Amino acid sequence: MHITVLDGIEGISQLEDLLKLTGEQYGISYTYLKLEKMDIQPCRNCGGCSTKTPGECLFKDDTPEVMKSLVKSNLVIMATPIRFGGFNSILKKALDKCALLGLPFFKVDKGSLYHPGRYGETMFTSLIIGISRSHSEKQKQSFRQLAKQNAAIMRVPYQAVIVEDNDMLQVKDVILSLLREEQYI
Amino acid sequence: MSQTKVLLLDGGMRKNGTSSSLAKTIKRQVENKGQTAEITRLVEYFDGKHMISELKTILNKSDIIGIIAPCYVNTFPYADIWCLEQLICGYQKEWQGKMLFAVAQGGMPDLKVHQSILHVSEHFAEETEMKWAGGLIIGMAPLIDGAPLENCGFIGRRLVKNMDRMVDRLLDFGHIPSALQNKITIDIPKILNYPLAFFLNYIVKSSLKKGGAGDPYHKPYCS
Ligand SMILES: Cc1cc2nc3c(=O)[nH]c(=O)nc-3n(C[C@H](O)[C@H](O)[C@H](O)COP(=O)(O)O)c2cc1C
Repeated sequence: MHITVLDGIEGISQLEDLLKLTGEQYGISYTYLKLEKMDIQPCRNCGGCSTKTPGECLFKDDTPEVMKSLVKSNLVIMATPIRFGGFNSILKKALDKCALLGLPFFKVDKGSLYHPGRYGETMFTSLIIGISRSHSEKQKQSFRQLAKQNAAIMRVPYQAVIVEDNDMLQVKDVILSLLREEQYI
Repeated sequence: MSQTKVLLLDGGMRKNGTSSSLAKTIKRQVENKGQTAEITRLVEYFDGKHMISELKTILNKSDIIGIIAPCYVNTFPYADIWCLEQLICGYQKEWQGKMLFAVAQGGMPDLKVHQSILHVSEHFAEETEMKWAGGLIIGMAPLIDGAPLENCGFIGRRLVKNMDRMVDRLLDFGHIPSALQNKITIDIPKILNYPLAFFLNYIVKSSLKKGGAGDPYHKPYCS
């Protein structure tokens, strides 16, 4: 059982402490990635990851660290403040690189096109946490829709939760109940 | 009467990609109607080629702002979100009441997977007190792949015609009618996604061959 945390929260976040406690208590291994501090270059859509170095970005940055952890994970936790009803740029810099997890080819499932996974299907469960600072219901709705589309494109089961003002107790409850549901604890 | 100034923010990462091709078409259409339009590439602000303060200055001088962006993992690319964040940091009262519209384009034919680009643009407009004018979503963008729309046969002609109507509406400071979206949407029956996947895979395989890559199924990050 391995958890990857893609922490897109700006500045201090209590997510690392929370993971440390949970990990120690239940004997779960995890990789905590404070994305703000990582050098992840934007995807330039150069096509190199398909045509030159399949599955790898031509630009040298911290992306391999993210990918190595994702491919061995059962649960991926992504956290971001809700930004214009979507993700902030810090989380998005890692998410764009997740295109490396897919193959360039197209397949059809239930009538819809998709890219099959490079590392197999249904790699992990994804938990997407949106931090709200009294955001409007409309922004929260847009956020939930984006989370749903993201899980669909990655073809992974998911949960999206919105917490007000960094309420880490709620985040802890959600993580624990997800781990119980998936019978990891 | 003074001319209406349209600012087109090209959100594409490729200099001559599909976002750029769409922006060029809109620019031409605005100019043909006697108004002025300027295109600026968001990634050049991210890369530090220009300062965000310069973007704020051209924004101040524009009446209508359009964002033309590709869909990356269901929403704007990283660099575009970064630019929007930088803009909101120095949010200026001068933007109040300016019109904002968006054109989203992406690979998949299913339009709802690109919807977040319009949502994010709308919420950005709300937060900056701009007037949201709506937008259009274009699927199956690899069929354009940066080519001038005029060279893209039936699909291109249909886009040009309806984008021209969109420009008319915007220059009247009106909301983009949802009927235009229906007119540019190619509703392909799901069953046709099978031959479409076959065709797209043919294009992918040809480019892999050209690129000279090794095993396309390579798993570089397997432990
Ligand atoms: C990192 C990355 C992620 C992408 N994600 C999506 C996606 O989620 N859905 C989609 O339909 N197309 C996706 N695409 C395809 C692009 O939206 C499409 O190729 C677009 O036309 C590129 O625009 P440009 O020519 O302006 O660069 C993605 C492309 C890249 C490089």
